[in-house]
Amino acid sequence: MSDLDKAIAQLRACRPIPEAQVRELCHKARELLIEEGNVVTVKAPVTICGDIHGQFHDLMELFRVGGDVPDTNYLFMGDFVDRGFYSLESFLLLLCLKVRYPDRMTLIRGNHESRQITTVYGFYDECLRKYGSANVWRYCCEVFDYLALGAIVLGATTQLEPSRQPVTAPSRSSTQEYLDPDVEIEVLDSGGSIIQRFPRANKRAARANSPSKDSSSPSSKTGPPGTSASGWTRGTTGSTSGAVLCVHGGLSPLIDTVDKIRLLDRKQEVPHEGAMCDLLWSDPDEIDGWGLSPRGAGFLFGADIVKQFNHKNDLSMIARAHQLVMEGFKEMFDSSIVTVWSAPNYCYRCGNVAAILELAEDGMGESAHSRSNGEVNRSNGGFKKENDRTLLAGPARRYRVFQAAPQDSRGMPAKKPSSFYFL
Amino acid sequence: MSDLQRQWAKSKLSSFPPPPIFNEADEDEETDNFDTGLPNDDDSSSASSASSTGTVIPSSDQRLFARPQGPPNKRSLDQIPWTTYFERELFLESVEGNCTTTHHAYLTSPVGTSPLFITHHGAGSSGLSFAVLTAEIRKRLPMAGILSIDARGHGSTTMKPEPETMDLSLDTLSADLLRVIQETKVRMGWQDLPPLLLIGHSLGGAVVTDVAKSGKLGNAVLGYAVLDVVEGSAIDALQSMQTYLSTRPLGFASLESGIDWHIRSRTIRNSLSARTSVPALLCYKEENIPRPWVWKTDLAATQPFWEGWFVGLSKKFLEARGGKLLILAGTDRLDTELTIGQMQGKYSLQVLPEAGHFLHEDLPEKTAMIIVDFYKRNDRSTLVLPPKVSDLLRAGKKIQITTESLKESAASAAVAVESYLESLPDEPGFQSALSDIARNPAGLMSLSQYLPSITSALGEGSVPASFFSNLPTGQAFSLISSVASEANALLTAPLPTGTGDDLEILKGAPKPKPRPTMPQTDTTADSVTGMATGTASTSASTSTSKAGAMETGKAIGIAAAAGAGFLGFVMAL
Repeated sequence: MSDLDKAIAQLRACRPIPEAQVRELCHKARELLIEEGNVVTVKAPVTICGDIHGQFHDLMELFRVGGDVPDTNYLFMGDFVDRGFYSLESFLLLLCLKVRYPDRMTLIRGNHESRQITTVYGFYDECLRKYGSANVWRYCCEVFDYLALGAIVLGATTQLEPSRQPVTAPSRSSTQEYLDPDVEIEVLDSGGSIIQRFPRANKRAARANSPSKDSSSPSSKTGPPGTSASGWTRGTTGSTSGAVLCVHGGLSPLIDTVDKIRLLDRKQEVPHEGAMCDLLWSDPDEIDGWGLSPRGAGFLFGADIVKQFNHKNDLSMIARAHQLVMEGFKEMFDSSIVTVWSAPNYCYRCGNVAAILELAEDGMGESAHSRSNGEVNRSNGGFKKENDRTLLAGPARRYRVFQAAPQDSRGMPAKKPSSFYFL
Repeated sequence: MSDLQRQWAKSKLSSFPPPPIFNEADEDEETDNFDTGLPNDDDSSSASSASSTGTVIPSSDQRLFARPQGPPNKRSLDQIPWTTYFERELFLESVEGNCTTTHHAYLTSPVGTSPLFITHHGAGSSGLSFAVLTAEIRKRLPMAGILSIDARGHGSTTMKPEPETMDLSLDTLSADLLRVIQETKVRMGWQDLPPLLLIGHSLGGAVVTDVAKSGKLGNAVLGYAVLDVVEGSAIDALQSMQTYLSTRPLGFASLESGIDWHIRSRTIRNSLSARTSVPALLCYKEENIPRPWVWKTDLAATQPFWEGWFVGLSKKFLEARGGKLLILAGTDRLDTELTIGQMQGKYSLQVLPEAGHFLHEDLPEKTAMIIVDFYKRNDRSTLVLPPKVSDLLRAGKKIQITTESLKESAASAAVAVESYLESLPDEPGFQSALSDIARNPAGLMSLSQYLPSITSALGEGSVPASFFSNLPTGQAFSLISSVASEANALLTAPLPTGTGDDLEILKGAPKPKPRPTMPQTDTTADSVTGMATGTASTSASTSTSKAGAMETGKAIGIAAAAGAGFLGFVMAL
């Protein structure tokens, strides 16, 4: 068993590794990450995850539900640290896994992967508490500066197949039972049972009269008792190339092609404004065009912006995290963008469920990965020929919704008593 | 601060009476080396405010290695009068039944279209609680106005005859605040209310949130800032309030000892603030000798109102219209509702872990920076949001139908742009960038749309050579985003043929050719920020003139935005 495997085992038990080992790990991680571009290309199959925020036990639950590393490929869209009590263990475990299985783990940067934010929201204090010095925090921050800003998932299938490795035995039969090539979106609970499924938009009309569908209304809440899972979805009607851009926050007025992200100089603290800041801070909203973000950084962007961007860059959708969604995930703007949130019961009290998004591998060679990396048709400025479109469908998406790990599995530090003058 | 700004500030300040001594370092109880005789550089205060957490940055005037000569300098506990901070005080009378309330407020009028910051203090405090903060705000926004009120039962607001039980319910306090604002408007002869920013600390936060939610000030409210109060944790803390109150001294022998107590107990962790705000909290009552200085407000008696102040605060805070800013002294104060709201990006949160509950008094400089930045982001006068893409598409389609109408609108736009370009001094990067945009019909029209606001903001078209670094954020943004959305629209709307030729005639410019990059703009962008390098050089990857124009436009935008970066740090969530 190598040192790295030992470190992984130790971290899986939620025990921090020695400072010297952290230093070595961060050094290796940096060497690895520096080789990655600002936008990492990832091949399906891959499981996309949103914010973790130091909720270590929920991260373990995520691996239980989604399948363990290296059996499942993971893409984490940032915000590993802060707020939860185990930022250190969570981030170091993910980093260890990244170093151990570089091709199976993708980590991109969130707005909390920053010196300024971590000093306020807990990670700094946690490092100080667990090591007695800020060295480990400093090593981690250096790694933050090297994290990629985004990822593009290519080669995702347009057809849902039963999960290759069902989480539990009963789920195998339940997913196979419902095998249906026309299903675009499937929502499963943590046990692997189907909560909801949605057919392809173009087939939906034809199948409207079919009584065999078990759920057709996107707005109906059909989650099992206690999960409150519904997940608002509609079938894809926009561009249908199959590529998915993953970024922590969203788009920027300064970024109109994926290429522009590739040209940023990312090896720095997250700036207070500019393209890099926007990618990590912006939010989609029901507005036209661009708007002021109430967060004080980044922008709000509307459906038109997303659709333009997807169209121009030959993307079928954008996956992002950054915003708490009570149902774990939320597709917006005709499924041109989805928010994935992976911290159940955020801050141990928000009462939300979490979700991960699985994109399966395309075995049929039908997806668009050979030409959908955002550099398509550069020679004519991004215009696509009319007959290039409409041939390809958006990726089939399987969401697994899960809840917080049981309370007794974590030793929660006592909350600081707040006895101060409040008038 | 840049050297230039510092110089400017120094020359400005020298024309004023000597400023009050301002050094947050003296919050540090152990190091009593505070030298009242020396004026302190303002910059040192930001560095030394962190001294409680570790690093002390020595400044040249501290004479670290000098031997102590004679008795150590005694900390000054002299009070600082309100006239140091405000232009005037107002006494505004209102009559309810047989009771006449004279509302007292401190005012510094805003100049021109500058904003008015309205501040409401917490329970047991007074309008002077914000005095040092407002001085810091005005250092950054010299034209801004401040209206700081004393709530009923607080400060110098008086009621005749004095009621037996003071009505301090939230509704009454909100109505009082509205009344004072309206009365001030009448007294000062303002036609309309200036743009308003409401700032409330603690109970005051509940009051301004209530006023913002009521919508009674209409569109004048740009935003509201709440300082260190959250419904959930406030209500939790109420249980221990009486205990806290019982530990306070009932009176002080002198004003100085009152100030001293606030500093020593770390209630207020900044002696300048304490010297300013504490005198207004105490009044002299002979019968209490030997401790004649007693609290003006009997906080224990306000207990019946406590819960009513805070119930529903989080909901109101999230629902009211306008920019929302919450500044807290610790993240553990957020309740569930605001934790969710924050993670959904519904408001801006700033945390000042080094500060105590009176964070605006403890760290006036940092708080002012955050608030000024908040104002700038919500300032409607400079902000021009980009045109909606759907509108542009619609417009684009109409134009596409008749080339005649295209020619017409392009012609008028070209005239506007042309005249604007002439009025600019020879700033090569910007000039060529603009003309590059102008070569494209849609870019031209969008540019002409924004020119009026840009021109007026720059003042009679006389642009200083340092144009890039002085361009305010709002305009930089409008430039960037107009060009960005323009580009978006262009790339989807099919272009009519022959456009280039039409424009060639109109502009008298050479026919646009695919251009690899814009050397001038690149240089400017590089000098401002390394980040722009990537974006500007992206031009190489595009080959149409449309895309070229867009690239360059963005490079200006970035350069301008980076130039505006000194405006302060945004670490908001």
